[in-house]
Amino acid sequence: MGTRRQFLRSVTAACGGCLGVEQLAPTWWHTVAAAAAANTTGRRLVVIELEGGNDGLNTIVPFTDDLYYKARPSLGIMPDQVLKLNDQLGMHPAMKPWQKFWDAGQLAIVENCGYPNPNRSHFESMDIWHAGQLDSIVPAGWLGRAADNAAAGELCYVGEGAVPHALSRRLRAVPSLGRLADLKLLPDAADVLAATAAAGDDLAAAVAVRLQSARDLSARLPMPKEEPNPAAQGGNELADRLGVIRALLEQDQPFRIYYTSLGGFDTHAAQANSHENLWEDVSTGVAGFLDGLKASKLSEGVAVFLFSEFGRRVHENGSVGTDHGAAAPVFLLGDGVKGGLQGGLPNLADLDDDDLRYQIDFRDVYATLLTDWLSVDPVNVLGPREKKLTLFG
Amino acid sequence: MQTRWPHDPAEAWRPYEPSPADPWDLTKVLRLHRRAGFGATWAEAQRDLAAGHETAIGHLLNGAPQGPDGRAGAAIDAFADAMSESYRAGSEGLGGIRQVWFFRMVFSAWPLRERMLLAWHNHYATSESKVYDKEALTDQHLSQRKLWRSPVSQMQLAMLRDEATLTWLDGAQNLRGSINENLAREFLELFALGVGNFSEADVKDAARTLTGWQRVYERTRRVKYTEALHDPGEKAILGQKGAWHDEDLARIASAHPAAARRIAWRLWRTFVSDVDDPSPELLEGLAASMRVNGDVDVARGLEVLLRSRLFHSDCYAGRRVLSPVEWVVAALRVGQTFPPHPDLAEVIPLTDRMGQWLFQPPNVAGWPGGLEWLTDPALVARANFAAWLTSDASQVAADHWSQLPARYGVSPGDAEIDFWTCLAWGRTPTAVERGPLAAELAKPQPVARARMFRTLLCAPAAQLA
Repeated sequence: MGTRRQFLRSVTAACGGCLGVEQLAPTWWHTVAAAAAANTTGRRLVVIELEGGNDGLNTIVPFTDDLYYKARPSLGIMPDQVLKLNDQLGMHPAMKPWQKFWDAGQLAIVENCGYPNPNRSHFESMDIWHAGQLDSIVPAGWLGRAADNAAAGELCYVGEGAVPHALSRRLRAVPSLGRLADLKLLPDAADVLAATAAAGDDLAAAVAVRLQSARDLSARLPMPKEEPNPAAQGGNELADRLGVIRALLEQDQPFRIYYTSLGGFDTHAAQANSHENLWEDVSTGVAGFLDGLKASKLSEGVAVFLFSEFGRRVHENGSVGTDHGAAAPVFLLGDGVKGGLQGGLPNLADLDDDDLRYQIDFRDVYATLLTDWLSVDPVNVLGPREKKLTLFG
Repeated sequence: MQTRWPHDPAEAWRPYEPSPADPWDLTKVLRLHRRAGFGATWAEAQRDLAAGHETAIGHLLNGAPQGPDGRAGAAIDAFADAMSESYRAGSEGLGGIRQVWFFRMVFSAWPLRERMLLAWHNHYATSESKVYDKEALTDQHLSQRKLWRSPVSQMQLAMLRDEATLTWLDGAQNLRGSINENLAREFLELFALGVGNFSEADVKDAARTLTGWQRVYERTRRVKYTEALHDPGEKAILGQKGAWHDEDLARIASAHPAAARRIAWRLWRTFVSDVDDPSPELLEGLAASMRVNGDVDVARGLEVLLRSRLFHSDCYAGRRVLSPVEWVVAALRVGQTFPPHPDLAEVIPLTDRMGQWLFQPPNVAGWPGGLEWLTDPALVARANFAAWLTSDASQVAADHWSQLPARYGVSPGDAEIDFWTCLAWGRTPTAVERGPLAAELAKPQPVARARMFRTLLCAPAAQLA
């Protein structure tokens, strides 16, 4: 009880103690359009959550560090296999599609990201990354606060299931979809959805707002003429979702921050194959997305940010996998990104309870995204942050 | 922490007794069924109104004689058991098993049991996406079905030795000298105690305690324990030292004060509210009633909860969001779309679009619940289901909806509006709500009744319990 997670998920928290305020914005579309008009930079941010805890050490490999190969007798990736970024670090071989972004200076990697007293629970640690806060309980996610408090623009979740807490807002529900076809209402459904007046308490009112929002979104988005072929992307779920985001960007929908996720990074056993497949999907999906945007002449205004709730234990476990760890790299790609490596080398000689120590606070990365890409003041989102990274320009 | 219970927390879990000021009435009957079951048919509601609160609550706690279509509860169970066995042995995937479970939910005379199975499925959230094994997932479900209100240490041990759990959380790879922490961590964090009640050192020693189990492919068993693969050394679990095995972990964890709070929290989320957390005092009150002989007595917790003053009060009424499966099952039950019922094989995939595909929870923490069920695609899917159910496409007879009130002698007018909202919302409408509904019913028949039910199913009140 009283954990961060449960509190975040309770209604009173998500709505600032008063759900009824959702009623103030029964049709979000008008406010969305107004916010979009007010935003002049035209820049968009796409956030990709790698769910489960990505093994940072096998993503960006310290291929000259003996301690790495000692800790990873089965899983270590050999120096002749990595895609070398410099004399000490190299990318997982599955990340070949990102090589051209690295060469063009459009891939920034921030090593050793994390926070003090790392939490090794998936759910607690993900909530810390979602909240953008360590211990104080906050009523909304960091991107939700950016929209609420800093006029960062409107949010859209593309994926299955619940909207991630990073996006949760004080004042209203966040638009979401998996595929455009998800929002297609049968004729007999359209006229009854949101047809009845809400009677009852703040929860009933919040449900009414969501019903109205669903109907509005369904009416607003153009429906595809036919169902997309799921096999088109070779079963790459992330590529499918990025395809939806690309379609929304090309339609110039008034969303400024898109969020999607890919699961499967909790590689406790037989990790080598699954981790390789995941990164093949991620790097192919993101590269295809950015190439597509370039073809549509939209790539200058889009940056892609990837993170995970933690890295993994330095020493592999007994099942040729890795258990939950701490600090790990995050990634940023796009035409406007200043490529390169930051955050130093992972220090395998000085571990914190068997895990890597963080060197860059993830909130400094967030602050840089907000300030230098979305042109909003992060102080009302993250509180005062002293350090800023150079990730753009 | 805010609480909606304005009285002394000690009063919350005392049994409700009807009084002239707080009588056993239709509202309470409907609320009991909607919150502890899947809603009441008109006949069930009238039966339990007449029976009085003791008998009515007993129908939920221990099963009613008949299901919603009038068949004997035992006959429905026997039929479902036979279907389940045949599907387990059959060559199809999990679809058949999902279908049997849906069949039980729609027709069972003991809906509380099915609601608890949904709760346990969410508690031990195990997904087909990694387990890929129909027999293993079926057997896990059947274990939960067998132990659904047993002392929790029995459920914990069964799940620790369960093939699907051991696969899902890599327990089958956790062997002496080659430790895998996954199962131990999620056991302590999610299954047994909750965050903040154990240390990282507990995780490491719990993992050693669980060593020795592997999957085998034999005719009579699917998992096997090998002493030589078990770490025999001393472990410290929650402050107790010994050469512990898995049964010791289940025992020690179930005797910990946080264990009853964890299960009480699950019951609260399942039957009271998934949008308001209980105050620590309220939660501890329910937990305390469940601590029996160093274990957690789930049956007792259910009994205390379903008989309680808090449960039968207005305080948390309408503070729980129905999950997609609960909402669909409730619509089929209270709408009495049987026989012939719509083809469940057609219904079940629609719950996927609503965000709840059984045997595929999003992760080991299960579906988050509450308002998070109500995303844009999920609400579109709910509305599309309501439209489908009340159209020819579902195979429900076109005049079913217009005949339903007449079957119970409900005459047109206000009484009929009450009838429909009691089914779909579990309450009568407010004055503001009544006007538009009367206008709906005045439209040409028989379409107006189908449209009425559809409209009510899509309203906010129908998503809540």
